[in-house]
Amino acid sequence: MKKKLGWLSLLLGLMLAVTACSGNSGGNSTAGGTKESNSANSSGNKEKPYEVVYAFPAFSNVPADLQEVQEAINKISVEKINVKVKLLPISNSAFTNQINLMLSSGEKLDMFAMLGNYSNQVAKGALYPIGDIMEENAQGTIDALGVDYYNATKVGGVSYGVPSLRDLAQDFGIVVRKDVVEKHNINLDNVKTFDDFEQIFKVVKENEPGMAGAANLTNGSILSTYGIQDPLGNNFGVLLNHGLDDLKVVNLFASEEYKQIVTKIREWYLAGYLAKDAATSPESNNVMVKTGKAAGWLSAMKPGFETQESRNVGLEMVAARTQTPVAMTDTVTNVAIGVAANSEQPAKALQFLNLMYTDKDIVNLIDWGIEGKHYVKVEGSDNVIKYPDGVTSDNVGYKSDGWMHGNQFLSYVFEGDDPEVYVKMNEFNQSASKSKALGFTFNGDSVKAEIAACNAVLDQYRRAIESGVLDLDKSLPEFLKKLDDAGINKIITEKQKQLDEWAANNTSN
Amino acid sequence: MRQLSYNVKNKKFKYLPLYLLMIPGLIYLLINNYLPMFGMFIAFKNINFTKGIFGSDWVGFQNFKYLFQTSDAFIITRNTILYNAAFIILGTIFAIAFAILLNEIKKKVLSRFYQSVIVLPHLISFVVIGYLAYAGLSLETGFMNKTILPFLGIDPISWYTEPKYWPFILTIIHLWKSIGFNCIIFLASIISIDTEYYEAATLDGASKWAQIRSITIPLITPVIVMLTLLGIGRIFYSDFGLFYQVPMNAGFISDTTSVIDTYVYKGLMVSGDMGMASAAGVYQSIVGFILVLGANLIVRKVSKDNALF
Repeated sequence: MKKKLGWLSLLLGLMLAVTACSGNSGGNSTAGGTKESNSANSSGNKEKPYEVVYAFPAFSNVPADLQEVQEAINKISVEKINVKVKLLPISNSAFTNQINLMLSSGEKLDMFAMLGNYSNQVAKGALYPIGDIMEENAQGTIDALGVDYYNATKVGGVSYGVPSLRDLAQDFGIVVRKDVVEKHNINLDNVKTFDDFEQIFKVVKENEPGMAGAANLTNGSILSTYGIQDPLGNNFGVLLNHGLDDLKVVNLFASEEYKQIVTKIREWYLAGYLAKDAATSPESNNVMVKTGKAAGWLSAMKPGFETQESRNVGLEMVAARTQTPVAMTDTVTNVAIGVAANSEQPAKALQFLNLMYTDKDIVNLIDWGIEGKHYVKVEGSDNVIKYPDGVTSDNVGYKSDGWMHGNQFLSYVFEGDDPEVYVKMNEFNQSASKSKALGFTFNGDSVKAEIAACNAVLDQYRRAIESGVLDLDKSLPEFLKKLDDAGINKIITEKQKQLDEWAANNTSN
Repeated sequence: MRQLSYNVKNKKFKYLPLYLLMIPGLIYLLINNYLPMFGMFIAFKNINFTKGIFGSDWVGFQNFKYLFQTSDAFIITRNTILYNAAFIILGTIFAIAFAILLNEIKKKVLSRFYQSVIVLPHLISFVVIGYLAYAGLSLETGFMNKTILPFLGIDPISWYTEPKYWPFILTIIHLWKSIGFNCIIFLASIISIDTEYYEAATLDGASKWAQIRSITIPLITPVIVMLTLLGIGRIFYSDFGLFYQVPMNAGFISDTTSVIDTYVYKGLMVSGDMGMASAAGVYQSIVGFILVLGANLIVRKVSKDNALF
């Protein structure tokens, strides 16, 4: 219980006499104990290198060789900009909480990565307005991102963070097991719209007993990432058709388009195309597919998505795409890095950030570790790597999530992936259509009570409705009524107001 | 005069070791329970890290608003209080019953064995219990739907979408998990009852039932009252693990499974707003504080000896 209560218990434990959960505090920190380990190392008569503490979410244990990689990075960075870095991975489940605590207690923190809560952190004043000093310290980052995508993180005209350079746009569709597709001669080329998924589901239902057409995403619904909207930060008030048409903020859940989609899902559910317990099953989509309980799932995608998921599932997957790539503020700021508001030397932090976008050696040290020890180059190629002999993904001493740390396009490609994947991804980013609201970030501070209340309503209804288990005639109006009560219209009004103001200041777009 | 001052000094000196022993406990209490109370002011602030915690703007009761924003406000308050009331009443009754039964087992080995078996669930994490419940209640593979209900000739039930069953499921699971621990407390106080009372009662020909009613229960009443009062003080808090893990976070049954803690968690999980989170905590502790005072007042009116303070 204590673990799950997470930030709540931590905060209450700090603040309240009666809460018994205080045993939790401090237990989650993964801060390594290395302070000033090689401060005497700096060369010659230079001033002492400034240490940049970089915190980021981690999805597995702290790598055993983190220290070693860090020292290798420092060797380059001290020479180039006289800055050292301290890598601080924090377990993802505790990340937001830990950052809150570090900021409020004044613990040293210079830079941190954000997954999906960029606008929240801006609203809370957690970030330093780096836009003011970006040009003189990190022009290379702006060049690498391109002005459009760099501008997408601006709030009130100033940038508070930069997106990591990865897939900045999304397309949408379905991934299906290749063996199933081939066995039953499913023609994926015919799948062009949402309704077309039915062709796949029907074949699967008729030929593969016990296999659902599509699985829910882990702890979510079928539509968790497959969407038709520009969510404008939080899905309360969205632009339909990914914001390609106009800037009119509407209630997604009350829209005709949404109703059509969930009605279709309900039909599929009743026809037996979907898992009966989809709304509550705790199993992940990967496991569902791997164990033959589902043929695939709907998802937001990117170039190379099939390869990535084939590896995650352990079976070869193929994809059919039903929507063309589109870039929205949310797809850009989804993964962003910012400088902490209480950083002592934001300029130094930015200079290091700049290396993460421009220096191939630094990028590959952070992403893959040390050459010869954690990876070796595949013979005859200087861009494709593999594990050294005797090393596997289970026992390698250093692992990391390259899509989070700066410029992934400078990163080596792992054997098995398309060697051109980052070139293709870059093209994908450049060619994607752009939402009319790309660059608009909603500040929900004035309606945060309503947002909290709406989140609770969403949590109650969304998964069940988008899994098809509920009778829509009854549950959909109920859902909308509760959203109304929770104040969704107030959020929409506020969002429209901010969007109009933003558009007025960006007439050049 | 001299005599008196000597006495006072002597007394002080006499109890000094005891005071010293008290210090670590007092310091712990001070740091852990009293110092954090100053943090209550965070509930009235709009925290902005750039301005710092003390420099952030005051916002009055703005942070409390979301707790009362929707029609759910009534539901979560009702659920929290009713569940906890049921837990206090049923939990006490069952725990005492088990304690008395255990006390009657004269074979020491067996008594220890049963005791361990009853306490065991208390040691299982709610995450595990959630999955145990899921193994029993799952729509397609659950023990209930596959074995028990067909045996009784009842159609399978989609447990995780039917709110009406959950008050029973959650109460049963809570009792299963918590009885063992409370049982030990009661058992300890039952064991400490002087056996002479029972011998005298047996000589007078009192039945077992009469002994329980007129000796055991009255003698452990102070313990019952104390535990109940403590329980009432926490009536506005709910066991997060029970209400979040066991229903597998299935949203649609939240009419009967949502309590204040899970509501706050769901509402704020995305934003992680410190001010609003502490507003919920302040609300819960103030209501709990009032309830303890009130309940104690009533107990003192009825029987002064049993009151806590």
